[in-house]
Amino acid sequence: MFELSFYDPSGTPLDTQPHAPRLDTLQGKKIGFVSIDEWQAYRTFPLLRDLLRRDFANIELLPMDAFPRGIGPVATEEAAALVAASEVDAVIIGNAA
Amino acid sequence: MREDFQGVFRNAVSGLGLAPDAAVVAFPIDLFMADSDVSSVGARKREFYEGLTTWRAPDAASTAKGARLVSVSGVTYHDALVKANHLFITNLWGDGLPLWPASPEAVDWILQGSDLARDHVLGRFPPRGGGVTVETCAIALAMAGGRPEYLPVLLATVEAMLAPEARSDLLQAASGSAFPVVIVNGPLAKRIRLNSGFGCFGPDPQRPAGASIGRALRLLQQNAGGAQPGIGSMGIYGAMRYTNAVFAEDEEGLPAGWLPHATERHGYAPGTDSVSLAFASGVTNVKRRGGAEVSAEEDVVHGLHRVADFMRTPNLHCIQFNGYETGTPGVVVMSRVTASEIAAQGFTQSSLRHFLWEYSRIPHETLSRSGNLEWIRVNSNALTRDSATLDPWPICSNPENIVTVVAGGAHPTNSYWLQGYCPKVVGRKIAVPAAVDHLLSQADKDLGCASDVCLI
Repeated sequence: MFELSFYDPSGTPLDTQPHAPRLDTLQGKKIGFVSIDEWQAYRTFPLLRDLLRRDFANIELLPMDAFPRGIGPVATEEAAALVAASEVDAVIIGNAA
Repeated sequence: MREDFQGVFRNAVSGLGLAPDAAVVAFPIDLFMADSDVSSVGARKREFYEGLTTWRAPDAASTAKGARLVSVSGVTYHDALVKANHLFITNLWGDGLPLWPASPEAVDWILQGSDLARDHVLGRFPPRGGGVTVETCAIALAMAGGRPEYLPVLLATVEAMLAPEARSDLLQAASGSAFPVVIVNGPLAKRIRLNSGFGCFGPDPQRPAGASIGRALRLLQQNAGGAQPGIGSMGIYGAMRYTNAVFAEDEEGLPAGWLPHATERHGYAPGTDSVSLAFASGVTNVKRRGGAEVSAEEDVVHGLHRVADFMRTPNLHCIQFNGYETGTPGVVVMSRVTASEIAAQGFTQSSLRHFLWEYSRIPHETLSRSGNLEWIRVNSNALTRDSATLDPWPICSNPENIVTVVAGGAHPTNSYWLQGYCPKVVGRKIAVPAAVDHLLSQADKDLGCASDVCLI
């Protein structure tokens, strides 16, 4: 038999960091929104915000313009810093298509 | 997000150093179209809530260092080689064409092309963020049938790809089928058999370096970067992606007073071995030579107008990601014969770009009827938004954003236009290994001498 050994070309695994821990509940929490303003985001985000307000008491929803909007501005260190500084409990990002 | 976009998304998350998944709610593309029914957002609201509360991330990947070895067995060598290629397909490691298995012997050979340690980390290859070392690049080059003397060019190109300003994380995933265009300057290019003449975008068996380097780059884009068609890359059509576009500028053909591209664009001294990386989304051949009995001046001016006419296209990709201000609308490639004729009419490289910029401006009537003005008006870059008032509209903020390169066969009939999708043209110097002369001597033995007198 002929055996061929060769390298996996997928790249070297590098260390990963964990995702943010999940919330125990959305009641009374502060939620931010990051929108690229494309793919019908101007319709889906208001709908989602209404649903959250109706289903969770005392939930605080930041305005849609609390953080940069648009496909370029959202993908910046400045945007990430603003989100971190806002002390939100969670962020919903969209729409990706 | 859209259901088919999840591969792209997982790549992006992984590329940030996180476990390769995140809480998403995915919908069919119909929801994201104009005037769609968005009621399913409400019907699936629980998934949004659970994404913030009960979702759990997958386990973190192994942090073993170095590439792992895999093995296949066959009755004969050919049988084993066929099985290896079947594995490349089933593991999504290939491009559909035959590949060389990157054996330890082959990779050790390729690694002679760099003085860096094999485990030297270049970075994470976007968007998936697979770790890329010198060894990873050598593996890709071995699979693509490359040689050690090509490795320095590939390493410099990967450095450019990984530069944040290149935005290859976005371009790899986007639907516009962007592909890397690598312009090589300096004396190394010709020595390693990289084409600057006829058929410079390939294929060319006499100058095979560009094919292997470009294919190795594509393999890295897929295997380390996760840019698989329809999974990690939404490039609707692909194209030019088997080998990308890797070629050398015809520096010997530059008219007197014209500088090498890398000197103009990046400030590298003439004679510096370097790569310049741009991204394009299309290629067009422009027949520029005059037909009737025209004067030399008419031939040049008519030809430049024809190129400008091809450039006068509302290519909205070039305005994305700040490309209107800092990138390029595209690359104009002209032969040494054409460049000489243009220079003989008094054009400098700068005045050439000014001509093309002026005569490629697009009237508002054209932009309006296709809805393109709206894209310009909502662009995230202020300079781009302000440009919407200009009629006719220039295709970039500054004539110097247009890349002009001398390359191609010594013939005047055609020029080439690579339509840009490029936030920034990124340059990197090539680190030539100390053993380069030995490597090139070996290449002469293997392939026949690279001198012009030996070529057909």
